[in-house]
Amino acid sequence: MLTEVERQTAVRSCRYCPMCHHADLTMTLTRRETYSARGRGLLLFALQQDKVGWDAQIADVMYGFFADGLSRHVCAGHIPHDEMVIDARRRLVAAGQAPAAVTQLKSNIAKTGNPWGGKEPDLAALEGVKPRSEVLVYFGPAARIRRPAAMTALAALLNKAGVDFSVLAEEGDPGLLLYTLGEVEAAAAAAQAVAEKIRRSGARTVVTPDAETYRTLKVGFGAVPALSGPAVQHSAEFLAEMLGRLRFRPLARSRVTYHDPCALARFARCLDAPRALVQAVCDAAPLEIGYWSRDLAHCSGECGGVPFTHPELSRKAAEQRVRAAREAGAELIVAGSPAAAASLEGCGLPVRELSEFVAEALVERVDEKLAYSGTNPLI
Amino acid sequence: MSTARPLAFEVLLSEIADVVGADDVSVREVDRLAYAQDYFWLGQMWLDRAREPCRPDIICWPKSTEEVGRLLKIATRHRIPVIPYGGGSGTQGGVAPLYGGLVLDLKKMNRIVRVDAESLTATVEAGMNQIHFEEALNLQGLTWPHYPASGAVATVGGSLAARGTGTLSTKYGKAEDMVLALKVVLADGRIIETLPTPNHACGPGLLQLFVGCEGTLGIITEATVQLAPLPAVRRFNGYLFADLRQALEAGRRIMTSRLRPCTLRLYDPPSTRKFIHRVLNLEVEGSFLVTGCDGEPEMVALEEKLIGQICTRLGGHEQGRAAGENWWANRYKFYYPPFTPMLPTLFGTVESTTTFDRIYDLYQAKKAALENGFKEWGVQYTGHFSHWYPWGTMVYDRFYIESPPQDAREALSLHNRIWGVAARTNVQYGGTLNDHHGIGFKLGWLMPEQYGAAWDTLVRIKDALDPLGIMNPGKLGFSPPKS
Repeated sequence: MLTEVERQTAVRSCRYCPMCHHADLTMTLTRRETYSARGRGLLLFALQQDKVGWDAQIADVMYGFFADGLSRHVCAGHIPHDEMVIDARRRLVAAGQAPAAVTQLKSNIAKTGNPWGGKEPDLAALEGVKPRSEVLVYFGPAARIRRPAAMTALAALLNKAGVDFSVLAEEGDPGLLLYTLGEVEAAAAAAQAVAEKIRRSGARTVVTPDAETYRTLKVGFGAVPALSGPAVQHSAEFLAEMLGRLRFRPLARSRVTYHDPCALARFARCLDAPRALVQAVCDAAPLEIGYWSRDLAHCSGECGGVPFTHPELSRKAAEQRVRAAREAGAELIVAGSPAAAASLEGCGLPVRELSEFVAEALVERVDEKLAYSGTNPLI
Repeated sequence: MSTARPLAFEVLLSEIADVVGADDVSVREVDRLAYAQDYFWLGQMWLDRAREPCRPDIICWPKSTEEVGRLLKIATRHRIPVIPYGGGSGTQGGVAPLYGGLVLDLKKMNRIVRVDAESLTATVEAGMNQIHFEEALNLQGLTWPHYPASGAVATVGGSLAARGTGTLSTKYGKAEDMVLALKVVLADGRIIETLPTPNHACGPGLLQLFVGCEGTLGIITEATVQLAPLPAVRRFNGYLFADLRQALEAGRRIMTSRLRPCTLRLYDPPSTRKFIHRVLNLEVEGSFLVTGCDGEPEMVALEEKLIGQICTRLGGHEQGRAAGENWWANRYKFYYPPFTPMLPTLFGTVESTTTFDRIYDLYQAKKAALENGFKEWGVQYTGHFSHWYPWGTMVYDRFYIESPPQDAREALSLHNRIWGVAARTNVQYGGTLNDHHGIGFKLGWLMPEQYGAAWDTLVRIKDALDPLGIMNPGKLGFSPPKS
């Protein structure tokens, strides 16, 4: 959440400065000034001067933005462009001008615990789940509803690795999506509810494959702080710590790239553990997707609620990302979150979520540390 | 735009949609507002003071040269102004839709048509973003060594249309020096190509007629440009001079002895104090000179040695490679908020180029004219010398007023008065109105003074190529549209 001074500084800076044009995903996809950081800043300034109103056109521009953190990341002044737009969305919500998809999504979360309104799986029925454990796995909405293969793969992986873990019977929604859509109060309530459930579980470590949950718990968002109490690990970090005790079968595919989800790479700086996993499985470092990789990675199309408000734009983002991976020489994309995997699927290259990828190759856990002869510097 | 539009306007819209498709033409208010602005201080100030910006009537996004040709035929028939739009990084109001009309945003024309790895050339569409172009070339071990501060925004076509330059220009030249051939659409929709090579003996060069024309004579839709291999090494160094004049002399000796540094950037004492401290965290006083060399390691080592000898002989103190590399790593940081000047500051870049024998006098005269002539406004003046030629250099200088008039008309008037004094000083000392930011409408009124008797020649060319005056009207000093 920005203070009014910070918001004004952002509006005045962004309305003038176009220096993140090359990085702004919507700008890159639409090729339109209106959908650039400068365009958004200019419109917000014009709104203050009553030259335009809070209407459907403004809503279209503000919601057609991925809030992926890249504009801020490439900005030498670190102007919080994302937060400026999220604030505008909050005002659109207050003015009753948010797209209908936002209202629907909020209603779905209230009714079902996930933004799609999908039927929730019985997590306690997953193989190997313990009623209580030091390790709690929080799968997240995308794994539960859109990419159940990631959920079952992670559970199978932990079982094979001999890790005791528990789950929440009802995970709910971690709130970040609601926040980016401008539903700030509902987002804070959702995040607080999840944090409370995790604390009540008594777990000492919470492990999640979900990038947005990881960002929420590890870093926080808006006025929501990071989770206090249990340690928070992305599943990649958790598994990477065990690498010396896992044995993999060689993979036929070697031209593998890793896609960094925005919430993981840019907002939470989780960059190396996923690569260490891919490297351990392939015995070769993953291919990087050119300049736009690691903390500069372009969004898979999943961020900012764009799949709900502008599904075509989201699809174009995914297609562009897959095209870039192919141009980098990749034959397989490993995505760092179930949401990114779901988004990139069907765009021209096979996709595996990280747990799925590792689970396919893991043979066994060995009790003694393996004499590693590969090239992974972390092992 | 009102929903009750005149019939003729609806007809025009439908004709444009027939060319580009209904999704790629817009009259939405949000789009009209977004295309009312670029990087020009005056337009920004106008909006800041709650004045109405100049909005285009229609924006469209053509996808090919043929579509641009058909759109210009329509514009000619309807006699409407046409404004080509690239990245919108211009500082002179070059894309301001002064008379409304049709904006042609060329950013959907962003394909690399051909890379000739043997001749090291590339043919690219005009709307290609320069950083995206560079990324694609780098994958092949190649570079278009045009690295403007606006590279994140600017398009290839925009750089050529405004004669842009970049941080490596001292070795590789300005954009205009790196172009071999152009495809251009004329006002009547005809598509022409310049000769396949820039060097020839086939009469005057049409190529350089369209380079720098800012869309007033034709719209550049495709360019063939000279590439270079990515250098094996590129290294930077820093020197500090107590005396600006000695530093300028060092630059002159480097250039006239035909050494080929890729970068020479000399900050005068005020800009060393204002920018080098703030952006690079270097606690230095005096005139800070950045030197850069690239290419094969043996050549680079030799050039560095010879440049170092020249600098030291003239009193330059080496600041070490870290200082130079620090500048290179942060070279674009100067142009981002909060490091770049922004409203409410009134500012302008009044840069110019002239020969070595006049550059110091030009700099001193302009500094005195602005600081003394507008003392009541507390004008600050800074300059750096950043693009060097074998015969001279350019001074990239700016004026700043921290507390300008609040009234929009007064601010505009003051801005123009200061700029008028600066530009006339440039011309008086044998310089040009501008080295690489273009003319736009900001400096258009001074073009007859720059060209003298030759101005009429340019006007006749304009009249011949664009008899209705629809091509980016009001820019380069040409008349408003005749319709």
